[in-house]
Amino acid sequence: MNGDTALSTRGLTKFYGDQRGIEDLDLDVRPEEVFGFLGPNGAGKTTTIRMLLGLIRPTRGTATILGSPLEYGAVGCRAEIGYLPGDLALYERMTGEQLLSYVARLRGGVAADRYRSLAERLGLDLTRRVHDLSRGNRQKIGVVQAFMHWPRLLVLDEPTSGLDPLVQLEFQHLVREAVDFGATVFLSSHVLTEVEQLADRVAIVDDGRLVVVDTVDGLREKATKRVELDFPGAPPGDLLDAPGVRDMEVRGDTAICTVAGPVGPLMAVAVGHGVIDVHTHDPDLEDAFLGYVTGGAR
Amino acid sequence: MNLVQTQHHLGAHSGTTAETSTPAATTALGQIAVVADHALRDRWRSLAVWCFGLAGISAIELAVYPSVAATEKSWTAMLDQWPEAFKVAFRLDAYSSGPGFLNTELFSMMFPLVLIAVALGAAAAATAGEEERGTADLLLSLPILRGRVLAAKVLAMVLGVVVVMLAAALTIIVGAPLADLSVGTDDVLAAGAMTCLLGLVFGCIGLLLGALTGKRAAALGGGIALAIAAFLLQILAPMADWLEQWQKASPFYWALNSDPLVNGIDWGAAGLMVGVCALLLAVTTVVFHRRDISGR
Repeated sequence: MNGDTALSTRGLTKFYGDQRGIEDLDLDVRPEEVFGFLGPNGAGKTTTIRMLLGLIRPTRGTATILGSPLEYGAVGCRAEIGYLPGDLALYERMTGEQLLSYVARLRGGVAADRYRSLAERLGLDLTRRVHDLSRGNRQKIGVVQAFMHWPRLLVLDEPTSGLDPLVQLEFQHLVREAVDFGATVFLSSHVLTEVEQLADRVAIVDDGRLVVVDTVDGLREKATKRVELDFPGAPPGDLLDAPGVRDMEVRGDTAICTVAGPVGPLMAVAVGHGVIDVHTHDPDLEDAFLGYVTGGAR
Repeated sequence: MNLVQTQHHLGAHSGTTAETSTPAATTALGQIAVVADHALRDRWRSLAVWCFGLAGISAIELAVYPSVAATEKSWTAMLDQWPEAFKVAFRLDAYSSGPGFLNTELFSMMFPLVLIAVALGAAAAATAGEEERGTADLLLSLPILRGRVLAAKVLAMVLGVVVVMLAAALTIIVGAPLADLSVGTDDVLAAGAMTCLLGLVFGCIGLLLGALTGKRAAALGGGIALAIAAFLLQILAPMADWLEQWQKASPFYWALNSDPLVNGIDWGAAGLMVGVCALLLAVTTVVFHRRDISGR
């Protein structure tokens, strides 16, 4: 592979007039990793991806993709990229077969057998016209065209939207296979679960800015968890004073505490008050995500 | 089932590494042909309707001609009453002659307006259509230069215009002897070629408007508005002295006033139209290359 990054951006910025799409994005995606690009809708994910694909021109900043600098108006290394657009639009009058054959002929060197077998794996009927297909089946066509030419870099924008759970599972197999073959995957989503299951590292963006880059495990460690404590009577108020406890909710004889970091100090206080039972919940990446993302829109 | 297929893929791929399996991009001409073919297939119904429509109208006009020729004197008397400017605009001066009849009935208005409509339809569907439907994201993310996409769309537009014109021209060439209408085959083709160029001038205007805005309505509406203005200039200019000097700015004047149905191609006017198209396409290429493709 080229150096130590498959994809890197420096100060990548896009403004639409005064409106910020994404600002000063610095990312380094390593070869053969699945890199999650996470953020709420409107955070700037699609803007970033469309710059990387050469569809919109950066306001400033640079990007290097598979060793080549991103140059507006040039083909660059798009032959080696598989791209699934976020809001996928397909030619409505074409059948799946016609559409995939069209893309294959423009790319060159993709055998019909390849996209047909991918379609079969996803349970996609290629004989039907796009305008007769459900959203999920259209998305399958998008997935097939992104994977069919063995790209070295997969750029997938909200890839599983509209796919039913079984197909999502098959999609995850496809991603893992691609990585096994040496591909790098840039996976954008606002759905945490799909990133959590596939990604090695995650970048979180919000409101056009990069908030954090960390491993999935690292995010989980920093995540707050919920601890439910049952007491013989009303829960004591000094639980809130224990280090790490962010807040507390009381439901009858049960205290529900949100804890960052280790739960030991809280437990010490709780034991002193004769706690009867304890339930904890695995830290959810969702919590970590929501912790990083500002604003009360959610 | 999936496992078996997965292994099949592993097997299929095991002979090559990820690096060497990168597919070679097809050639420029290959890509242009693929995109142009798609653009034409997308519009074949409308093109077929235009072809049959123009051929049918041409056939009907030819069927009427014998009775026009038979009553030449009364036509001449009647048309003498018309304002001079109308006689010039619609070529009424030689109405009962073969070329005069064809000019009046078909080549001075019907064919130009239809070919402009065909060209503008293709132009609006070209880049603006792909952008508005959202398919531009898929197409332009492939390893194809935007200039090639544009070249393919231009090719499809030119072929569409030429095919529709040929349907009408061939009807006239085949039907004229049957209707006892005397007109030179090469003159019909010359007039057809000039009319095609006229349509393409407005088509190229539509392409530029589409590349500037990404909106089909802008390409179509702007093109139609300019075509109407140019047509009105062409027919009204002879009636008003102050307008007359502007008539030469109308592409209709370039295409029609040399009377190609009698005189063949006016190479100066043809060259002017080709030059205007080339200039418009050059600007369109630059604009489209620099454009931020609008997302859905």
